[in-house]
Amino acid sequence: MWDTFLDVARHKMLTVHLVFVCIALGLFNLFGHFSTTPSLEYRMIQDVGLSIISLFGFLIALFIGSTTLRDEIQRKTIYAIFTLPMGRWELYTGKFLGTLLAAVVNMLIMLGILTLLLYIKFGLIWSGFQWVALFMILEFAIMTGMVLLFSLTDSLIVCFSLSIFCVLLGSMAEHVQHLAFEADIPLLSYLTDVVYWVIPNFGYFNIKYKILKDLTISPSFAMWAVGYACCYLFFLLVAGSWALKKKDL
Amino acid sequence: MTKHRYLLLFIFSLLLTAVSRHYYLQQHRLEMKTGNARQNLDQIQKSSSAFFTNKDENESTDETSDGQQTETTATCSENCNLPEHAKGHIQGQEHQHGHEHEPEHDHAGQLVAGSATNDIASTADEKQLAVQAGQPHEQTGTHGHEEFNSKAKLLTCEHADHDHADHHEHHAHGQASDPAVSPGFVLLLRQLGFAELAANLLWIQMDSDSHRGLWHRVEFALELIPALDPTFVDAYLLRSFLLDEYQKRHDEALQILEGAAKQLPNRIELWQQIGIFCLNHTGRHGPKRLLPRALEAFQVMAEFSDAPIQSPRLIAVTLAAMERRTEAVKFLEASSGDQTRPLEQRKIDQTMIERINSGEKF
Repeated sequence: MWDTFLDVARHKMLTVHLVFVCIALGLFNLFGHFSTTPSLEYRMIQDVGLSIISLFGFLIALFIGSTTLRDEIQRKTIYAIFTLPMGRWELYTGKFLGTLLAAVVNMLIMLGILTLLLYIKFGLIWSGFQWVALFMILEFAIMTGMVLLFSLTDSLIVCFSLSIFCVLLGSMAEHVQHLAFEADIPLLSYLTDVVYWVIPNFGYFNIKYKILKDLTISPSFAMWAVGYACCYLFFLLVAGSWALKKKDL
Repeated sequence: MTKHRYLLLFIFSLLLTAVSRHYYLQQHRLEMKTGNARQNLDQIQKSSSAFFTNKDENESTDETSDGQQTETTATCSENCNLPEHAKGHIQGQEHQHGHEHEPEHDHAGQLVAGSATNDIASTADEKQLAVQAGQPHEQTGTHGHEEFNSKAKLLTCEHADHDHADHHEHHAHGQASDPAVSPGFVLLLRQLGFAELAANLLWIQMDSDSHRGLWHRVEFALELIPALDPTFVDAYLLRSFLLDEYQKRHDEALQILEGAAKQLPNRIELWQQIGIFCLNHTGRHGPKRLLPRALEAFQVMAEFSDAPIQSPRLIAVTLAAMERRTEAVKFLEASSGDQTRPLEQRKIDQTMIERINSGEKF
């Protein structure tokens, strides 16, 4: 896990991402013009800032997750690891945790930058920060797990396409299901029902508007979210470990 | 068994995921107080055609040889269907002047909140005081009345800061362009996580549509905004105001506010507006009066730490309307004896006590 994390941390791409995030967050004044009062402007900037962090967080998870295991396989260094007394599932889990740790550290840095900018502009400490961070970690964990699973496919393009498709579909799962139902095609409806239950619904990890307005959520709700995320991660890790075991290496 | 270990684990984890997802969704709906996303999408589908039709413009595209002013007057009266709007034209005033009203009407919120107390006053001085009593509370935080009022101006034709002549030229010539912010666009924004941005962009679009007299779009936008962002108080307030004031759908307007108050119980504006609707002074909100509910709403409002300064008077007026005058007077006496209240407010309290004691009907 630590080796993966350190390996990822040395990646130049992360620095580039952070620069982009700083620029994007620095432009947050633009979004404030949509609002008429300072309080609305504050919330608007928070909303847009968090969405930018979500977007860049996903990109980080995508770029790191799709390369970390693939590089090991392509460079043949994975064979050296296989000589160690560890199962393939342990390697896969370690890769996942290392990648997730890197994504989480990046996310926390981005959140820190946003909080700092908000403090500089408005002089307010952001309450509800911890809940946003928790739900983002859960979201990124599932995204990372998915990307790592798809990285076991033969093509990088397939990995990217599947990952982006699943994230988009996961963000619009209910609406896609509804549109299929409205189309009145039984087979399509059945398929979207299956997809709806298999693909994670990222929309349900989006608690931004709740946090931005009410500043908090109930701990029991957070526990259910953690429970669901853990179950889904377990599913992804089992699927990934199984796929790695089946892979001809 | 060992051979199929991964397969069994896979099936088990899939089932576990489905079960945990089911319970998590239930919790999510409870916590977020949202209905099914299908309902939102149904709503969007039902009304989406409103964004792509220009029926109001089509009615006004025929130019007359008598000149633009006649045309504009007719168009505005038809499209806006607002008494103030029509009045401005009838008086033959410039557009900007046509929309200027009494000072107390500077805020649309006061058309409701302020007028209830305004109507109570009988003399000019009292009116002035009553207007002050009905002033929107600026300390209510986030989506405050002040903000709502400034936006609601757009729909009450009080666009002091806008060049109305230009807008009405558009009315006359039917030059409405396609909407910049369509339902599909805002939906996509929301799904990508930009819910607040989506709601605000739609609000801006609604503002623009109201200038062009596209009221069918305005109505739709005000329905859609809470679907995008259920905590967008301004949309609830403005929609209920329009329903009540211009469409005379009083019960529906009250229902919207009641629904919003369940969703956002910590928003003072909603409780104040519910109270005003239920108090229904002068019968402006239809024949019904729900005085116990009005009293309850004002009491909830008064319990907030940053309650509006006129809260005690609103409670007292409601009590007086319920013919519990002694109680009302006692309540106001306590309020006027409160040294922490500004002297001006205590004077207004005293005036109100005299009026209640005089047997005036509220």
